[in-house]
Amino acid sequence: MPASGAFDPRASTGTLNSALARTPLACVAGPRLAPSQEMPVGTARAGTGSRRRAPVVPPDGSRVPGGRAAECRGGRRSAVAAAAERHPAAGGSTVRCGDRAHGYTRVMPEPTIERQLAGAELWARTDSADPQTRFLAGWEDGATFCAAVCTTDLGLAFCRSCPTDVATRAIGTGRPASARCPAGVRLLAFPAPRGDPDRAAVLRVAPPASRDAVAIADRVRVAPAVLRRAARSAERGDGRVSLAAARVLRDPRRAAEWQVDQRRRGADRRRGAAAALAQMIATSEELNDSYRSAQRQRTELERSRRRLDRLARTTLRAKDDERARIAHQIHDTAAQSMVSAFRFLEAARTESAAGGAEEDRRVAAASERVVAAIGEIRAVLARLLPPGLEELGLAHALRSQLDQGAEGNGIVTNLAGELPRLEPWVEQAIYGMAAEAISNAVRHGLPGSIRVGLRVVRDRAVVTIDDDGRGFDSATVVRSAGSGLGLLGMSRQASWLGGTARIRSQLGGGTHVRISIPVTRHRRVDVAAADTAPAQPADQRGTTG
Amino acid sequence: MTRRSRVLLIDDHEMARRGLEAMLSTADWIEVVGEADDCESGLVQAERLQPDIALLDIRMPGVDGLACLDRIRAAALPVAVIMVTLYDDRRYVLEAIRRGAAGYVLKDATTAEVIATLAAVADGQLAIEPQLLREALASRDQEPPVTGTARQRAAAYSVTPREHDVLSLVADGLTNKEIGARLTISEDTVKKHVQNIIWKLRAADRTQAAIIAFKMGLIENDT
Repeated sequence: MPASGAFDPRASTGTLNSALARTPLACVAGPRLAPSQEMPVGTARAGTGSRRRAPVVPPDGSRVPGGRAAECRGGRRSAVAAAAERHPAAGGSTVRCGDRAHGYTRVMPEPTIERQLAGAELWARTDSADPQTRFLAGWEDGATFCAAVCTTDLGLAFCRSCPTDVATRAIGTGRPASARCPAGVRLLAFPAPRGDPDRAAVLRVAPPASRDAVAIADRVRVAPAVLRRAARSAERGDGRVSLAAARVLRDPRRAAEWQVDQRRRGADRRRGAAAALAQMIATSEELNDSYRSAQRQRTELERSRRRLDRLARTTLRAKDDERARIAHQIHDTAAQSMVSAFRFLEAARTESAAGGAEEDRRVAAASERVVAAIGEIRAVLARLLPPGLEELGLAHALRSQLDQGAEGNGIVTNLAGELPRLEPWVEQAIYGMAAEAISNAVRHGLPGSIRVGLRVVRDRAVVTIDDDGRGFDSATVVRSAGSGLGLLGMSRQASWLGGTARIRSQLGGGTHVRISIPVTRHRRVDVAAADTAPAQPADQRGTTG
Repeated sequence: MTRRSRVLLIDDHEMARRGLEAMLSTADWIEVVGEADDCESGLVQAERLQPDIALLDIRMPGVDGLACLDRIRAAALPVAVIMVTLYDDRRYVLEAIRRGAAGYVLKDATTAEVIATLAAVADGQLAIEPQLLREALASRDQEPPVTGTARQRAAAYSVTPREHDVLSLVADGLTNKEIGARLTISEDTVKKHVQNIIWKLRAADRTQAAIIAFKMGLIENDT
C-alpha cells in the first residue's frame, strides 16, 4: 500500500458531486466537528499533512484544499478509516500528521469509499404492517438525489427520480436488491445495519452510461453534453469498494456514525448552497443594478435624442418658415420694384420709338438689365420657395419639378393623387425630399419613366417616387454626399418630421422612394380651402369641429 | 383695333400698377379705368366699372390671384381675366387656364408682348400658346378618373371607404348623431371622419365637402 498522502485531484474534480468536492472532507469521527469542517465552505486551505497539489476548482469557482487530510482529534478513529484499514484492497492509508506540534493521526482514506458512503442512503420501514419505506438518512440528510449527475454550474440541480422500491424490496425480502435509476445509475440495496429487519441501505455502485445520463437532462435542466461528460468522467464502479462501504453500513455502530456524519455533511452542503445562493443573489443584484443604470442611460440617451429631434424639427420649421418669409419679402419688395422699374423703362422705350423714331438705346439697355435682374431674382425665389407650392400645394409643385426634369430627357412622368393641405413648412420639407428624389432619378437613373404618387394612409402623408432607371447599390450610395439633400439627408429630414424615408434600389431595378410623414398635427384646413371657393352657407349644425 | 378696351388692374403693389399703367398708356386703344390693391376691392371695382379686361396679379397677400380668379368667375362678371405672374411656371399657368383665365403675361414681358396679349383677349381670343393650351387640356387626364365607382374616385383623394360612407350620409344632410346611429359608430368617431373628409377634400366645412363630392362625382347622385 503506497503510503502516499497524495490525493488524486482528478478524483475530486466534481466527477461525482460538486458538493462533495466543496465540503472539506473530514475524518468521520463521530459527533465532534473536525476543525476542517468548521472551515467556511470554499476557503482554500491545504491539508497540513499533505503536499499541496494543483488546486481543484469546483464548478462554483470556490477553491478547495488541493489535498484533503482527514483530521482526527482526540485520537478517535473514523469508521471510514477503520474500513480502509480493514479492507486494504479498497485503498486506505494511514499517515502520520506532518504537524508534530499536534501529533494527530491523520487518516487518508481513498476517496472512493468516502464517496460511496456519501452517496449512500438509509431507508426504514414506516411501520411493520406497511410495506412502504421512508427515507431515513443519506445524502444531504433527507434529499435524495443522484450523486452522479447533480453537478451543474450552480450545483443545485436535483433529479429526484431515484427508485424507492429497491429499498422496500431489500427490507421485504431481507436480501440485497438492485435497480437502475432513470439516469442509469446502478443502485444496490441491502438490509443494514446488521440485525435490523426494518432498515435497508442503498449504495450507488456504478455510474450511468453516458447515453442514459442524458435521459434526465430536462428534469435537472442540465445540458445533455454536460451530463454526458459527467457520466464519462465518473469513476467506474468497483465491487470491492462497494463491499467495503457496505460493510461500514452493515456495522450498527459505524452505520450510526455514518448517519451523524451524513447529517453534518448535509448541513455543510446546505450552508454551501446558501452561500452560493447568497453569492448568486448578490451577483444578480449587481447585474440588476448595472442593468438599471444601463437602462437609465438608455432612457437618458433616448430623451436627449428626442430633444435633438425636437430641436431639429424646430430648426427645420424655422428654416423653412424663414425661407418662405424671405421669399415673400423679396417678392413683395425688391421684385415688385424691379418689375415696376422695368415697366416704366419699357413704357419709355416704347414711347421713344413712337412716330418712327429710333428707340432710345440707353433706355433699352437699362430695360434689358432690369429684365436680367428680374430673372435672377426669380431664380433665387424659386430656390427659396418653389413657385406654386403655397398657392397650389404639393402636387402642383411636384408636377412642375417633374416637368422640368422630363423636359428634353424624354422621360414619361406621371403624378397621381393629391395631398390635402398641410402647414406650409411641412409642405416645404416634404417637397424638398420628394424633389430631391425626383432630381436624383433624373440625374443618375436615366429612367424611361418616373411615377409620383401622393396619398394619405391613415394619418400619414405618403409620397412615393418610383423610376425604372439604372438603380444603384444602396450600400455604396447612401453615404456619399452630393448636392442637395442626399439620400441620408432625406431620411434624416423625414425622421425630424417624425416620419421615414425609405429608399430601395438595386442595379438595373430602378429606384423606389417612399416618404411617409405623420400629418395629424400639421393639417391646414383654413386658409387655402376657405379661399378657393365662394363662401358657402355656414354649417347649421356646427358639427364640423 | 377699332374698339377701346377698358382695363382694370388688380395688384397689391402700387409701383407695379404705375409701371403697368405707363406701359399700357403707350397703346391708345387701352384705357385703364380702375385699380385695386386686393381681391375684395377688385371685385367691387369689376362690378361697378364693368371693365372688359382685368389684369390680375397671381401673388397677393390674403386672397391670392388664383383664388380671386375663382371668385370673379363665381360672380359671373363679364370680364376677361389675364393673369400676371412673376413665375414662368407652366403648371402655374395651366392652373390659371383651367380656372378660366383668358391669358397670362409674365411680369418681365415687354410692352409689345403685353399689348399683344391684351389685343388678343380684347378680340375675344384666348391669349395662350397652343402648346400650353394642349397641355392644360391634357392635364385633365390627371384628374381622378371619371370611370370607376364613386368610391374609387374618392380613393384618389385618399378618402377611405369608411370615410366615403360618412361622406355619402353627410351629402344626404344627416347630422353627426344620425350618421353615427346609421353606421353604429360613436358621434366622436363620425366627427373625426368628417374632419378628415373636409381636410382631404380641401373643403371649408361639411357643406362644401358635400358640394365638392357631388361636383367631383365622389358620391352616387341617387343616394
